[in-house]
Amino acid sequence: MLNYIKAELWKVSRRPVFYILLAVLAASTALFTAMCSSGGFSYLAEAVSTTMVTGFLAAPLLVQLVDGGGAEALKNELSFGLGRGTVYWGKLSAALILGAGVCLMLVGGSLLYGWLLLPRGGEEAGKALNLVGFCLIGALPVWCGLFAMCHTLALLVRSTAAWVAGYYLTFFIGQPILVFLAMLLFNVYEATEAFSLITAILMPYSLLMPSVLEDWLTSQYQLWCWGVGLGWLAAAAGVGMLLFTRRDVR
Amino acid sequence: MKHYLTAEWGKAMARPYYRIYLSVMVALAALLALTWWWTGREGMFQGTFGVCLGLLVPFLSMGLYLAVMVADVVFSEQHKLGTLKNEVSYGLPRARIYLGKLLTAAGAGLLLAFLTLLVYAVLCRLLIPAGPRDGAAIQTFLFYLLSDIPLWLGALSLTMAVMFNIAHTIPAMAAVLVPLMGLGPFFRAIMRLGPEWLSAGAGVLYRLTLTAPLDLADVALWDPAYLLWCWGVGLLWTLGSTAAGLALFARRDIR
Repeated sequence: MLNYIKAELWKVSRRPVFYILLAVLAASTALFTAMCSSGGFSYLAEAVSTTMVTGFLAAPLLVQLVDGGGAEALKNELSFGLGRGTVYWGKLSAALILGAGVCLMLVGGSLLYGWLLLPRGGEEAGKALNLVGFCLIGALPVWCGLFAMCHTLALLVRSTAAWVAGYYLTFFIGQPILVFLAMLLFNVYEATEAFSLITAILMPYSLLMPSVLEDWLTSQYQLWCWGVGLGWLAAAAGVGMLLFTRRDVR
Repeated sequence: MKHYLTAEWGKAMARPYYRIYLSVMVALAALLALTWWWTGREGMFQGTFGVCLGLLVPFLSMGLYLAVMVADVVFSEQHKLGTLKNEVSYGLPRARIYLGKLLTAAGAGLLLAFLTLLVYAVLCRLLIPAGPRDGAAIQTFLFYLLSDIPLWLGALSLTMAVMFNIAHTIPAMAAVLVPLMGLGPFFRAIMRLGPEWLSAGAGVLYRLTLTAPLDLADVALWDPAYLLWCWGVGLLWTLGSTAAGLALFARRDIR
């Protein structure tokens, strides 16, 4: 398994697309850091803590780096005798390690720049760092859930454009409609806990939105993040394994 | 050209992809209509046929992103499969290949939209009683539909131009989705932040994005300025991306 993950990561490192994506992300991060650095380190760290939703947007791209690279070689991998479980979990783990590395590089780089070069306000700086850590810990399981879903889609849908467009479309338009219908059918009203929970379950990315974060810096928020994120991970991996073990790979 | 169009249309219709896509869209439309009917029976939803059509208006903005999938049905990753090379080396002019696929995609997309909306409208008409003020609501729906069609075509042409010229799917999707989803919010953010000359410039550019007309909530019925805006922006993107895509594709080395 470890060898498989290592091989997948090596394959990604040989793709020029990976470096282009990395350069674009690094350039955007540099621009963001430059724009937010006027208010000192704590302001920058607070701004960084609101960017967790970027992981939701980048998930299909990072997953596709792993899954798209050897799309034609999938048949060879299977006929070589690798188990379907190994292929599924190996590729998913490789994508997650890749995502964690990219996240560490971008967030870490931005914060390191701020820590070294911007004025730090003693106590405030520590507080802001805590905030970033809190948001990262909450965002991690949600990202895992989204990655698992993308990975399942990438393995099951033959056309890449279809599932990538479908992913954004479902999350931006489909899920708000589902929430609206849930409100209509089950008589749940806005500003109640039940409504927030339904929103969080159906639209996991709403847990990463800054507007939600403001008054949610509680342990309950962490609980929801971990519950919803791991729930999505389990559901996506379950469906993915169920269908992928039965799929005829040509 | 006629033969090429026939062949492309036949290929697109013969793929299970298009049929699955169409059946999913029709099923979703039917599901929505049945939801109104079901909640209406329970007494929660008390709209008329016209209200049902009005509720569909926000959904029309989905067409921008559904157009990406329509383009994919027709183009179908031909760089990856290597079939574009066969067409070019057979001797077909590149303009015919490009425009033929674009027209086929436009036709397939319009057919998809028409069938989906038709199923929704027919089901609503059958299940939900008409009201006295439905005439205006139907007109509002038709007005928005008419103003959104050029925007869809703009998104479709952009996708086609990118798919013809960027061989890898992920960069291609980024090149389509970032302008589609990101440009509007980006220019709006600059309008709020920047100095006066910059925000004025960003305002003009914002009005030229495909999503800008969709952001507007209240428009007077048959407002000619709004229609002109939608058609202008839509045709600008359609013609601009087709011209750029065709010019680049004509010079492209196809491997």
